Amino acid sequence: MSDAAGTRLARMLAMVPYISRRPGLSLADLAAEFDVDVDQVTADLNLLMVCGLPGYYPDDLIDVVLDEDGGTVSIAFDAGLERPIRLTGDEAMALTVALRALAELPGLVDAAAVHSALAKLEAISAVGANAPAGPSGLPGAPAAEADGDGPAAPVQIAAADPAPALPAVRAALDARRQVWMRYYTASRDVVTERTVDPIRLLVTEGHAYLEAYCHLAGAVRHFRVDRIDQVRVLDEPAQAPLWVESAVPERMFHPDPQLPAATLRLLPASHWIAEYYPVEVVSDGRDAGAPAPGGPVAPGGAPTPGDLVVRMQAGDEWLIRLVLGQSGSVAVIDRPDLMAEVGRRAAAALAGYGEGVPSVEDGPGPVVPA
Amino acid sequence: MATAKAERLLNLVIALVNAPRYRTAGWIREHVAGYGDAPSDEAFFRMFERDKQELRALGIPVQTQDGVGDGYRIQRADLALPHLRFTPAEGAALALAGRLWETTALAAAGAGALRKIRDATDGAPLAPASDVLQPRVRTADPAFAPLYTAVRDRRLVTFPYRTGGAPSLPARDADSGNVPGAVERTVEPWGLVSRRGRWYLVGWDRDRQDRRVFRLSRIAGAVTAVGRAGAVIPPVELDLAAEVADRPETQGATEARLLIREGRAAGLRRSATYAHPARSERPAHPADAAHPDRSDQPDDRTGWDEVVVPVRHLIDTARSIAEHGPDVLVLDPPELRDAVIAGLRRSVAAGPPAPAPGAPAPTAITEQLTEQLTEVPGLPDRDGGERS
Repeated sequence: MSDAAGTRLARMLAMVPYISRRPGLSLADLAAEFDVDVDQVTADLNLLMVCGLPGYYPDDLIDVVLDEDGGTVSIAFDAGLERPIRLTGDEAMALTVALRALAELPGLVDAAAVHSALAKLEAISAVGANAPAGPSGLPGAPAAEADGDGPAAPVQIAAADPAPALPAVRAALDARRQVWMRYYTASRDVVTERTVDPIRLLVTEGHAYLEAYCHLAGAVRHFRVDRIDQVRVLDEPAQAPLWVESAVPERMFHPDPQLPAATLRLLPASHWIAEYYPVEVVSDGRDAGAPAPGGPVAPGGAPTPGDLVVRMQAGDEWLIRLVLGQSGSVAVIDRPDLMAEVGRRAAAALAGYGEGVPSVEDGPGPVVPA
Repeated sequence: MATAKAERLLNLVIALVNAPRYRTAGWIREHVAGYGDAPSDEAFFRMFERDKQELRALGIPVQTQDGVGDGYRIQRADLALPHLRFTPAEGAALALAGRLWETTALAAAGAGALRKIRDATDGAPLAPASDVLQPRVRTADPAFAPLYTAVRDRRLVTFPYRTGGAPSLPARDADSGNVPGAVERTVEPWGLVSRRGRWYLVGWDRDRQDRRVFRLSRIAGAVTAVGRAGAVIPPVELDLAAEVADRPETQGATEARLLIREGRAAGLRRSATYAHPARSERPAHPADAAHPDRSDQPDDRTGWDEVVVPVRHLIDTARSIAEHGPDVLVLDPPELRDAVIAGLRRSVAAGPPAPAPGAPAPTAITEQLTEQLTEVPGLPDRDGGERS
């Protein structure tokens, strides 16, 4: 209840200066700006009209001029509310945390400008907190968490992995030039050279991505900027895209829909795979004992409590590498051929170290079914 | 109800900000619309007290007259933003920052902040944000909003937490380790931090009496705030980013020498600090003399490159090497070589890990990281020892 009143009060206080600066504003635009429907905006305006200076004679009230036919609004008398009120704790937090996050991405925006904007914000946030507030001042008040020299903000976005190519990519975008690059494709573990027409820079999921038309692939692709090993801005102008999306894709990593799905059994040591890659969880280990559908029982026996069974789309080579890296804590249960290849490569690698299989010097060692 | 209250609060703000001097409670009760209805003195003071708190929570400080106690006003300078000036570059940064948050309470706060700032820069409007730059921070976890509120209000929280996926939990966590499903945790929330697109809660775990990091995606149900606001006091030296940082191991080798088959393992080569051609094409490396016991190396290195790569986590590096099978061999250090060999042995069985009594005990830092991030899993899985 009080939250609703507080939210509404904050919105109405913000509406007055917003409308005064835009006489004849349409109600639809006003509603969109404040992310509420037109009915709510109309109700807010009707409430504003009955508020004003003590006395509450007609000339004391906020004068909201509604043009019902045109659906527009202006404000003729604002009862002293002509300026936007100071940032709330949440607003200051949202902006300062975001600015600090931008500052952690060298090359994306002008870092000096980010820091000077932050300093200006902190100056205006600090005034309210330091003002002589009298005996009923601020201690304990949950707002005003703006930080100058005070404690660090309780919300933080940790720095992304360094992406040395970011400034060059940014420059190419601004100059609308093509880019030549050496790019590491992690899913295939290869480095390729490509020429691309940059479209946008997206920063999401903690990484910067260049969205670009790739001449090698003949399609629009997303490139993780920290995987661009070498970059050169070319003289060639980049082809303007037909249209630029404003949305950012939900996930940056899309499995190739052409790839077949494989069923993986993950021991607890490898449960991170289920959180890291797009997978479909078949069994979360609670119904242990029931064999997972879609294939022969994995080497090592039926699923035990704590095992996850998931399905994921991935290429054979990628799966083999994944399993090889996980020291036996992942099994592809419906692809015995892949598991055989894993075993072959592991044995070949051991032979490279002069190690036999199984070893006797290290205790019982793995139990290899005959 | 909300209408009456919003109306009363707005009238109070207008009255106090336009007041030429401090106003007494009695004056407010008599003159400000909405307060005259209070049936008793007590009801009026309760209402007025709550309203002042409400305004402060919105960032509107109601000043009390010094030494008098019964005099109230709102300083215009405290209420309103001053005239602001931003350079075009600052404006561009602010505009990006204002839309960084996607679909959360902070998204509305960011948009609101930007609107206020735009309206406070009269005569020098902020440039619109560039469309070619789209930074976003997602907070899709349902736990984010209630945890944010709890962190901001410094209130204790409880939530069900899933640790079933965390490998190799330390013994002190045995009660929750490896149990599918969730265990209720009671936590003093200190802060929220995002790393690589994932959100973590840093706080004091009341049950375990220890500082812990919780991954929001593993919170398996409702977050409940308990107790009063202001009850949680985060330590002053708290560094949220450091709590979730990918810290390198503090002991052990910091680099490794590898042999990589020509044309293979492009990813490993990216981090190589130097690489030189196969031995057959170069003079013997001085380091070879220091390691006479090289009987385990391929005798003929034709077709191999020797590289040096950084090692931040032994087990992580071992994994990234093991995944290449016979295409990558470790020359140094011996502990890395042993870790790779141990992992490969388990892979030969291509099943769950067998008991590994000789496996090295995980280091404390790695345990902590595996619990926190589980992006660096690894470590012989203790649970596996009970199987087979």
